[in-house]
Amino acid sequence: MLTKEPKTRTYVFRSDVVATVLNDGAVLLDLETKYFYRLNRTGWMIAQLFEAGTSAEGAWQRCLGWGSSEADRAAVEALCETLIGERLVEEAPEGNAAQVAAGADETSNGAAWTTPTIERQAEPLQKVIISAFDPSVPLVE
Amino acid sequence: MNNATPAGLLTAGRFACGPLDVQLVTSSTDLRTKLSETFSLYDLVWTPPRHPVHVWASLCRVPSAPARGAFLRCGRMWVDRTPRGLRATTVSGAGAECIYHEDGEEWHLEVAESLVADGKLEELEDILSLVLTTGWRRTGWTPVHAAAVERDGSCVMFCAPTGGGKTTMTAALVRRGWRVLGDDKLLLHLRDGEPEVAALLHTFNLHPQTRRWFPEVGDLEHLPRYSVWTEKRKVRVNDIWVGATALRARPRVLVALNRSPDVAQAEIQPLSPPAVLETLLRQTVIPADRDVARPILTAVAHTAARLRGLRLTVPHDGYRQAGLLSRLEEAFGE
Repeated sequence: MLTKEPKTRTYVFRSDVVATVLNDGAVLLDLETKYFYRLNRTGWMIAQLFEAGTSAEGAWQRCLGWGSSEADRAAVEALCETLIGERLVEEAPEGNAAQVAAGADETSNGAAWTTPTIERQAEPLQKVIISAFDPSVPLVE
Repeated sequence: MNNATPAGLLTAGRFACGPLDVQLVTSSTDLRTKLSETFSLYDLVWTPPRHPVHVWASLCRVPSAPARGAFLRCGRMWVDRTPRGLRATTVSGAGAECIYHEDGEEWHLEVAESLVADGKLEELEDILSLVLTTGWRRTGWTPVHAAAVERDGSCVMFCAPTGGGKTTMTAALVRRGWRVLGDDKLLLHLRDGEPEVAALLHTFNLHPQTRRWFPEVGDLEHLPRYSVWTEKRKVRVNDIWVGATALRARPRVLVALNRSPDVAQAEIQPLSPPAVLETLLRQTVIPADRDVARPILTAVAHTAARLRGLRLTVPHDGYRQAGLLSRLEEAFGE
């Protein structure tokens, strides 16, 4: 459950989080922490809402429109909680909420609804590396 | 891009480093020797067009003020993004400013005279790696620290940390009819949505003890060391295994190679898709800049999604074990 942040607060992706879309979902990389995350297709549909800006409640309402049921609510909230808790998203500037409805309309793209997932890789990528070509041996930070 | 040579500097060489056309200009004999030596390692000439990179190198008395490392932090070099490109400094006093142009890059290297006096020019290798990787990325290629071999259209990539056995495994497979694209450095891109790897140099960095396993490499002790950081020697693949090289291939299998003293027999296990992604990401430098990082992540993640993964754990002398390479080749084809 979302206990630390009001569900109606609007968040957007941090500028140093990058994503790439795959057939079965997406990969997110936090360039600051060097953690990367794998999302399934539904997880990415929800995460995309944060590109324009949304709240956890707004994301849930959108999910209802995509075919989710009350049974999925905990998974959707958990995903939002991960995005917020891991600081992949940050509180949106004032006035950003107005973009939400306009920015998220086509996100589902007709994909079938499944329980959303997000998995963080256990260990982050190296922050300090050997050379501009060789990241393979992490050095002391 | 402005090609005019500043007064007092002399053109010192032109190098085809993969898709790049690197022109080096310097008036310093020491810098010319060191920089030319490093650029000329990349001995494959790609077909034009090539991306122009101009490098002006000069000596200076005062070391550059240190960069913060906001773009990239290496052991001996930190790099920042600037409004016009990049700025890098090394711990011993070399600095570099890069200006991005639509049709190439312009690098200005300043090397403290004390580095020359102290014989510490190896540190320039870090800056030159930055020069090259920057150019490769800006031409749409992602540098990957991995080995690759190809046979009958089947391409296998090997990922391991430095000293993890990539070269030895590659050489072992070359002896069985595979052709090598590289033992350590490759370029990767997506062509028509499918991954393709390209060769940059056809030399092996071989440790002299490799002769124990592959006698045909001969006595390597007499050759100069590849760098002060390693015992390895640089050897041209075709000097030992004639015709055993390839330029481009589409990888289908990724092997995470692990050399371990804790196993008696080599072990081959499947690697899960998330582990394939992690393995490949850990062999790719991703600067902390979203415009640079996004295409790298795209190339790596889409490549990983198309590769079948294997984990190979070998004991130190594993390449001598009868049947290991046959088992491995069977696993490639499964």
